[in-house]
Amino acid sequence: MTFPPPSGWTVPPPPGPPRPIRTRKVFIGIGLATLGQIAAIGIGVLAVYVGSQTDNNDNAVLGIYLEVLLQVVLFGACLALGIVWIVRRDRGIGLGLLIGWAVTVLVFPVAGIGVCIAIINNMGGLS
Amino acid sequence: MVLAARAHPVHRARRVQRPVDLEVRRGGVCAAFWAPEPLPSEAVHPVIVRLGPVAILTHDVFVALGIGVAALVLLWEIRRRRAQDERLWYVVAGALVGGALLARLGTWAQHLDPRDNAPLLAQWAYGNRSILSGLLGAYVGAIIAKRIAGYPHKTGDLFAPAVAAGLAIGRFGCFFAEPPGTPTSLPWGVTLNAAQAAAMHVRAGVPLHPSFAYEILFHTLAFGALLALRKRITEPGELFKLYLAAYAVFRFAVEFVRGNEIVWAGLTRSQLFLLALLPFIVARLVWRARHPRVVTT
Repeated sequence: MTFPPPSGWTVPPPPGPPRPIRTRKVFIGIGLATLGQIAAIGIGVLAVYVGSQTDNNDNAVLGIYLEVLLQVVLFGACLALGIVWIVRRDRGIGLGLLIGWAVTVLVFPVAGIGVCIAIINNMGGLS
Repeated sequence: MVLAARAHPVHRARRVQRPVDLEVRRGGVCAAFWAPEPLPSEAVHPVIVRLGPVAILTHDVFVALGIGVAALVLLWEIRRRRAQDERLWYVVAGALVGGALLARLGTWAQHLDPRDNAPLLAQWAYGNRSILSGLLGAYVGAIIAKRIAGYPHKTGDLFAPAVAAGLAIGRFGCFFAEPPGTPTSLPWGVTLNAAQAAAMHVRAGVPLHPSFAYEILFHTLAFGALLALRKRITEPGELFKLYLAAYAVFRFAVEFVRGNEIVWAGLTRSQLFLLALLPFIVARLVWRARHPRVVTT
């Protein structure tokens, strides 16, 4: 019995299972991004509030910086997780993360900073 | 030192150096904010509801409403055209992400001297939201997403009625919260009282062009026209081009009564932005005329 000489050809892997984009999953992704946005706003506002209760009012400003930082982190997280999810996992959730971030950033983000500023102004501004 | 953004977001608040540069410009940040007192006019309603010390801005509520209505109109149009395709999710995501990014950052480079522009983070946090740069971002984002998803068809016609409807509603927020326009002797001019005028840095007791009402009217008429024309204009993409061209012309004209800052040759930034786009549009039209698209579907 003789075998054919090795040709160097390999058998391509079989295609993966289909990954349809389900509307429900997209809305789950949108909800996750919205929750992230609310969390970012809440943490920033809380930090400003806590800072405003200290003797040094300037501590409250750190909360504003934190709020801005959290917005940047949220953008990076939604972008990275969205892409990873689209490529490797559920495409609906990945797309929902991107869509949710974009919609909430048009409506929400300054809200947190606005509240932070309101808290600082309410305590009479900065020294 | 009091942070400048405590006042209404359209205030031209004084510039503060530290810790956060909060120059708030016309058409600028819109969100919950600390409103000192409700403005006593019937023409201006910057605050729609108060939750304790926090005021929810009318502008933001109408932006959210506009996005919601636009989504419904888009869904309706997709179903009407029987264009259901899961790859459209990519296009929607690309358009929204591109639109959100450029709407916020598109007005960053307002000055030729980069030192005069706000830091990027400050721009992101407190800067203007521009419809024009947002539309450009959405357009670019949609094109990129179509390439990524391998969607070969034109999508502009699907989006055109949705954009018109969304902008018509979203502009109500501007109408209620932003300075109306330049002085006019026309009978429908909007007159602000002293408190409103001081808050918006315009003249009190002088009738002003309701420029945002003009824009609401334009988008409403455009929405109707798009619905009426969508069965007559069947060439893919033409309906959207028509809408964008009409809006560009309208926006250029309405800027003369908007009251925005004039920066060069009697023109506002929005007008200069549109003029800067003109060569690219002409070049694309010429290129398209010389290389006609082969429709394979």
